[in-house]
Amino acid sequence: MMERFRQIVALVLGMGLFTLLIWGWSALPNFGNYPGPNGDIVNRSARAERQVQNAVAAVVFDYRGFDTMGEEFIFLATVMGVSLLLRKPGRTTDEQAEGEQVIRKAANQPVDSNDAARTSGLVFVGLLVVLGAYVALHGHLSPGGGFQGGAIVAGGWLLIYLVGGSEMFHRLSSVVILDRVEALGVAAFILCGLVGWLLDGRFLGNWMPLGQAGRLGSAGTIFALNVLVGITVGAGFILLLREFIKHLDEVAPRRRP
Amino acid sequence: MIALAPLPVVVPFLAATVLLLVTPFRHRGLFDLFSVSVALTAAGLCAVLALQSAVHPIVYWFGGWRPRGGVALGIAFVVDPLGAGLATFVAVMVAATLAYSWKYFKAIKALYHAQLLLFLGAATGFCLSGDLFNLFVFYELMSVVSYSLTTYQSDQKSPLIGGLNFAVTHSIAGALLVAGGIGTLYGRTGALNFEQVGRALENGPVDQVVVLSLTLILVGFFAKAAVVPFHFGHVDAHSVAPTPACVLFSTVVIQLGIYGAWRVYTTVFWGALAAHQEQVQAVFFWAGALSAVLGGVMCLLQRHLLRMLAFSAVSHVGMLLVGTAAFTPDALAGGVVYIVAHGVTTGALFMCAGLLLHTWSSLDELELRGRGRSFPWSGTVFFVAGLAVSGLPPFGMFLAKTMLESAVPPAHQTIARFVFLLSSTLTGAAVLRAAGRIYMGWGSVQTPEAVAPTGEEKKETLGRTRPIVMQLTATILLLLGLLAGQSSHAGTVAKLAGERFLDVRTVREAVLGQPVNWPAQTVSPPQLTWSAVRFGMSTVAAALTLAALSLLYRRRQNEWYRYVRFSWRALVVGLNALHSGRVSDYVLWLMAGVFGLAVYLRFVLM
Amino acid sequence: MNHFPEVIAAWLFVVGLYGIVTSRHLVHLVMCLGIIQAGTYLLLIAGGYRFPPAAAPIFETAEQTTLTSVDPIVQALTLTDIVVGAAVTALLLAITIQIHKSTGNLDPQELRLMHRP
Repeated sequence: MMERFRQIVALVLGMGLFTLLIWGWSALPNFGNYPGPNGDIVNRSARAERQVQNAVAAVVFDYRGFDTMGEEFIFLATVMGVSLLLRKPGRTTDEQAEGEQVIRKAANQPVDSNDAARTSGLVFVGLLVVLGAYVALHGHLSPGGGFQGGAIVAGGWLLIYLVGGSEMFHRLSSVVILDRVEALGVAAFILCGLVGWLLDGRFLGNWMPLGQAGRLGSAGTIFALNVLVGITVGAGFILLLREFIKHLDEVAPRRRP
Repeated sequence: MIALAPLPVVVPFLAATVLLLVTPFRHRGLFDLFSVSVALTAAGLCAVLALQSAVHPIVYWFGGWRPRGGVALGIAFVVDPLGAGLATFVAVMVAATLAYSWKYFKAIKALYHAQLLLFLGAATGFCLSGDLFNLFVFYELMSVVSYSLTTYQSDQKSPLIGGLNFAVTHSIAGALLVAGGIGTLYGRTGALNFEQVGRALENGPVDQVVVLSLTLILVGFFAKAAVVPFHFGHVDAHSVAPTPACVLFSTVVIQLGIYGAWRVYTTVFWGALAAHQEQVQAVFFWAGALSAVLGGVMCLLQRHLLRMLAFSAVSHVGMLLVGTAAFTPDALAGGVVYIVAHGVTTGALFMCAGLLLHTWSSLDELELRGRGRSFPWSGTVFFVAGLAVSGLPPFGMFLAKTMLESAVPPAHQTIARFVFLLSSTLTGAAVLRAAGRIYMGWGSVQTPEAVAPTGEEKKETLGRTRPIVMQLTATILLLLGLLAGQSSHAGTVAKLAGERFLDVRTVREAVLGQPVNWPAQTVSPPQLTWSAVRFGMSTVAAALTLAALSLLYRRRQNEWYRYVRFSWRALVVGLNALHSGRVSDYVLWLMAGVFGLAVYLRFVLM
Repeated sequence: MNHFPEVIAAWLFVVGLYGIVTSRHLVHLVMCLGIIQAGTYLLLIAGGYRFPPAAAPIFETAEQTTLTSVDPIVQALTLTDIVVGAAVTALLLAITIQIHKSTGNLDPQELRLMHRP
């Protein structure tokens, strides 16, 4: 009965909110008529002043680079949080590693997937990693960037688990290395900003040579930060996946062929 | 002149990454020492910024992107004495929490310390930021760390559910904030910088867009600030989070929610709403009154110490809203002193409670009856803090309440006074009752609080800390509370900060135009009249009386008492049922709050 | 329609909120939160759109910068917001896993905080 009541209240409030939102947003400019001027100023100045072709990358890593830094830390905090949440209770980190070894051995038994699926799957791992690296590296030239590239790399890494089994996945994603890589990526991001601050007081200001727009080595710090973010996000997502897969290992281990 | 503005954010962030990189080192004490020093350094940096900003508002553009033709392209930090002062306070509280949690947990690498440093950086950034989306990013970072800290004991059911309730409600509030604040305002004005948006809104009509964005932003910040009826998640989190996290939740997080509302309201909406300011500010007033009263009543009905303190914080934030609803410089000055004084005093209370948890594995007031006798030092701190909370002069909370009261416009004086009296008495009584019961063994077990929810605490994750550390940090905080009550210094500084905060014109010129100094201003120290002292003492007396009555409560069989008891029982059961612990109910309150506020604003503004 | 994306965004918001309130499974609840966030992204991006011949803000030659393009700022905001949303989703799903481990129950209506004595 209470549940019915809750549903009705939710429905009524929902309809009320829907009307409210539409009423409010109907006074905004019509769709397709963005008035500017901030976006237009950015579009005009991005290529000329920073030698970057992708204006969105310029906004993400230069004009509003400080937001991106904050966002990186949200990502970092999440990876930390998930590690804390999914840890074995009451154990220190040493015991943790031992426990994981036990799980991995249990998962190391024959499975029934066929060779064709496995081979093509593993080929795709390589393709996806290369694609991810490409997207990350060319973020300042074409749509894409560090976040997108990192996510693609992590997706490819997940394929290792799906076709190669749990043991291979854990062997290839060492927590020790990934943790450091992720933290280093973020630390390098801050240091890059600090160099700008030390040189002329502009935190996250550009201090690297700008090069020529259209080439891989252009756009100064935008390029560097892009790559760093790609590394961090890739490592971070793999760590996240690893945590969830660890849990799967206990419940439904995926055995390798 | 070195530009210090980005450092209070960058230094803790960098320190957190350093901690993550060096985690192989097992020297636990090193992590504690390192993080406390970083927090204190950040506090020092913020203090310097506060001093520098006393001359002129400091505007720092990240990446060197200065505005072009009044159009802000980059992100700005706009530092004024109030914001920098709050940032200093936050840094000090984080440092105290880190000192308090020395060896509190079994080491999980350095994740706990890194998270607290991230929290510190986000909180200081929140105080200093001058950009809507930047504000949101820091709001979210603080939230994510809070969710993670709440669910620290991840093997038990309660922290997980509490964390889930907290996370879901706060995430929705955050999404509303983005949609309302950023999406709607950007659609109308094309800008994210406070000053640019404010100026654009002033030049436009007050229409649906203003109503909707103001509603969503206020609800987003009020939910963070645990204003009734958005306080459920906050209170649930307190029932299950580790004590150091609770310290931060009740002394920093909710206050920053209020600060966020002040900041955005005064820079973005104030000018545009010129004719309707009073009616909009009535929202602050009445939401505050509701919080103060409900929080106070619920406070008395609790048996779980941290949950009781959580409701006390809700009540005090309500008082803060009531006192500052007029948005005059004196009102905001009182508000700032209140935030600081309440923070340190409540922090001391939480720390004493944590010591009890650590020793007895319980936070249940009835279970702990008499067990506090082995901690006379902590008991004294708890008792004195309870008196300070009810407004004992010369503590900081007394000064703050006096300042707030004198700043309320005459029309609302009576209601405000009544609310202050009620809130101080109820919350003070709850704390004093707990002090009596736990540290002296007074009181019976058959009380109305017996039907309140209680938790299952376990000591698994706790390390081997020493009680002396906990008691020391609690005492230091209480002493700071005493310091905050020195009216000539604290009050004058706060008043000046309040003046600067509301000087929107100078700030706008400094941000969008040329750097400019604050206009010269003289302020007089707040007046502490004898009537104010009498009022303070009377609230303390009322709190003590109520606490004593509570402890002496015994069931009577009389006919008359039966009716009273029945209605009282109904109220208690009803209120407890409202706080159902279910996330779906909390979300319904969010939806209702948004809709109700929007309807009110529509009829007031259009 | 003039405000079609905004209508869809409002719909997503409301559907997500209703889903959370009436949810009987935690994973469903987390996904509904994702729907609310998707509404936010749509609102942001739609605000920056211009009809053709406005182009994407990718400028391969210097001349292209003189033509009109869509707003890159909202796209950057949405990118940041998506990362934030993914982070919160990951955290909530981890909480869900732990709840399942410790209680075996994933129904939000039955998961209540604290026991009443």
